[in-house]
Amino acid sequence: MEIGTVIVDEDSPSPGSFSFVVTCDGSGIPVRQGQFVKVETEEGLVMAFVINLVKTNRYFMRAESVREYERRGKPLTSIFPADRWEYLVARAQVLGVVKEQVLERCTFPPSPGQRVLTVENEKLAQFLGLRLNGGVEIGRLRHHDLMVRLDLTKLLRKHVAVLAMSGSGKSNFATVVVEELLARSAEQGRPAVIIVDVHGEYGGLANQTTYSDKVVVVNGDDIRIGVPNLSAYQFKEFLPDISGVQLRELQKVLEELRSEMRSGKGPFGLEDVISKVEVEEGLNKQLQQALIGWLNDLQFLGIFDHADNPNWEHAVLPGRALVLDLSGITSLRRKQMIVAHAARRLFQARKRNQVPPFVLCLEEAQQFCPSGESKEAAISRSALEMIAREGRKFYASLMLISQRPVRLSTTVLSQAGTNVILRITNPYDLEHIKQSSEAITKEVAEMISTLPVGEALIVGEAVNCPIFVRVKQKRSQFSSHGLSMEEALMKFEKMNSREEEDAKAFM
Amino acid sequence: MVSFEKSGGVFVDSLTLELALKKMIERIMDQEARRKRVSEALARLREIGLNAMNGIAEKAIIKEVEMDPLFDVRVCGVDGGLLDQQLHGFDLILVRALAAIFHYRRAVLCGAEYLPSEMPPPKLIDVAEPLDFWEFQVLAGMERQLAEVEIAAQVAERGGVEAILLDGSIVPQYVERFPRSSLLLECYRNLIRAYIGLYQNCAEGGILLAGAVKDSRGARFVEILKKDFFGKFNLGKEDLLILDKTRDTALLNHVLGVGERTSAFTYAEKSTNYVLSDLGGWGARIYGFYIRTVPFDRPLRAEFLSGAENVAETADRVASLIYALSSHHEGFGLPSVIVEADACARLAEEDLSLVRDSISARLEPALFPDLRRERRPF
Repeated sequence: MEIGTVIVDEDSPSPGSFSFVVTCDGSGIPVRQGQFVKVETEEGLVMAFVINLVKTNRYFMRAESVREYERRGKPLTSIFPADRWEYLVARAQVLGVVKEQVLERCTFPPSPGQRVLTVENEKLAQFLGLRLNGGVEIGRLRHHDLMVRLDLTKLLRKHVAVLAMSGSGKSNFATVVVEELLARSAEQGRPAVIIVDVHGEYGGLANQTTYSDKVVVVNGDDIRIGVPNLSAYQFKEFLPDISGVQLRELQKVLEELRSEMRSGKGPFGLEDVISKVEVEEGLNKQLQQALIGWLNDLQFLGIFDHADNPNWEHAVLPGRALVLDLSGITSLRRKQMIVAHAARRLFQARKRNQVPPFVLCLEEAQQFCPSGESKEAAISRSALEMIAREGRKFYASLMLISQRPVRLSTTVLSQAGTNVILRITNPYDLEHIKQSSEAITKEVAEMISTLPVGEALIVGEAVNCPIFVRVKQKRSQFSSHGLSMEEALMKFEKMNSREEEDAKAFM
Repeated sequence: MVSFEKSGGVFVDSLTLELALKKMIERIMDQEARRKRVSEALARLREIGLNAMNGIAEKAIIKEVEMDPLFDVRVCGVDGGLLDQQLHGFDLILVRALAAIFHYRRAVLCGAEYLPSEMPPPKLIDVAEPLDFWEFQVLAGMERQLAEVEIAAQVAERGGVEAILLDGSIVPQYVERFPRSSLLLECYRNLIRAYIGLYQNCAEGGILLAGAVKDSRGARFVEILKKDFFGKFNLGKEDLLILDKTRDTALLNHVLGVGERTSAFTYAEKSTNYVLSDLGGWGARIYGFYIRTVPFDRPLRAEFLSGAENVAETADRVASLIYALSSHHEGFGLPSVIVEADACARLAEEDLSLVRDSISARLEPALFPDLRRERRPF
């Protein structure tokens, strides 16, 4: 459908942008900011994105005249047919020329007077690199009646970062992706999903009939790190201040214990390591005490055991989701250790093809791979950076979810091929995001801060150019975080009064 | 060394400039003071009835105007736009005229219609006859008037409006009859025919025809008063002399209050006046008055067509409508329909450039029509 005509203004039409006056009449809104349009040029079909709309009207251009005419309380439109002289001028950013299914850079401007048209859904999907069928369906393209189905490989293979301020719909987006992955059939190929759930938001997945048999929730308190699976290097990761000599001694002890295990003594725990260090002969007394001190420090955390729980190789299955509910754990160090271990174990298992290709979803990713923190405060960073760097080759993907992108490791963030950005208002975070992707122009960045809840900007590998998507609602139950303040207060009151009644009954 | 000295100019140095400005201001202030004295005398006559006076068509020299309630009225405003350019070998004129018809109901605009359309393409006129600069300007002006009058005549013929307001006079104000140019003469004749056609259409259709002259330079009203009126007052000779240098609006600016108009007066002393002579019997039916529609704008000259028997009544009706349509902006008292027609008809320089460029593009470089002054290399 024709919606406008290219006009000349200060610096356009140019190969990068053009303006057009909206010519189509009729009711409703003919064109919106963020809509895709097309125009024919000598180079071929040029696709463009409406970045701004300006209304103009000669009757309202001079403030003093408007004030004078309306001084008596009558609107100008009751004196003059002012509304007839309102024009809508749209500014469009050229995205590229469509040539034989390929998008090329536009090098020649459209001509003034050229007709500007709306884009058909099929053409738009093809242009944006969306799937018409299959793929990961995440919602509807803003201002278009087009479901956004992202190509699975493009979306996940090079990792995805979901960035937004609190309450903007990050978790909903992540859940939608997870649900889409779980809905895949064996014929289509099913990735495994591991969710690091720091707020207990994903437990609802297991309660949904559709997914109940596909989701396993592991309580954080039940998660254990199998000591036999740890190398001395991994101990160093947990205890960054451990010295090189101490580490060598620890390695010796671990090898001895592993050897004993292989000879039939069974798996060993941290207490066995400590005992072994205590009886180790020839160890410098001071070194021995220090090493025992470090190991006791780990033992005190209560997460080390003779074997891993869950057993990663058995728990991570195609088409299944494993939710690690860390909401009950307050110690960040403990959470980081669990994530570090899980990430390493999963990646190793993936390398050995012991687990299917997987997506590791990390809620509050800035807690696990923070930027600029010391090694001591960023225990899991190195493991996650490793997956970020090498995961693509082994089909081990990360879905990093963060409300503070500025605090997220730049190594990890820069490896995320696709960024899903929901509403962000913090100027530092906005600047950080702008710098992380050249596809985010000034105009697009301005739109991010005004995005409504549930609307996302997708940039990067998954799409050929930035798109705004109204993310669909997840199917699984709402988490407790979805309750209103009033509902939470009433729930608490109810729980309290029941406890009191129970106490009275007991007395 | 580049010298900026301006030889033969008015401003030799800043002192001379200052003196010149001072003199000019003193003169303006003196004239204004004298005008004010004259106008104060005139104002005293506000409530005095007049006996028949040559040229004055009503008994009161200043009348209050009753604002039309615009209860259910359709009024048409007509205006035109003009651009011209002299080229080598021929000249170009671009004109556009349109009528804006507003329908007011209960003082609120409820519809607007345009004839031929809200932004009609301009008409291109190429002039091959070698006219001098003044003749070319006159021709361009006549072509614009012709376009306006023709469109007004169409509205009158179609009917459905109570009044047609032209932007400017309703009389073709040409003293010369162009003996040296057949082109100008032909255009003038066409213009006269068009005006007569317009008058006929309006008279037959019972449509008020009026013109609102934005910046009138007329002195007819002062002339009438000088002859028959000021002698009756004790005004000094010096004060009366100022009237020789005073236009109607300059004097009436001190006299008329908002919502007041002067008595209607005949367009000229005699209908055989050179300007009116070609209009036949219609010349005697052209009248005018001045009206103040808003506090901070000068009085507006209105001209209208009327039979001799109902001049006062027609003047009241025209004044009533003009007052209602012009009273919205305290500093700009022109009828809304004319404001709209003016805005729509206005031509942009680019419109003419487009035509000129299109011509240039189709000619060999040697035949480029632009004058040298338009082709300066720097």
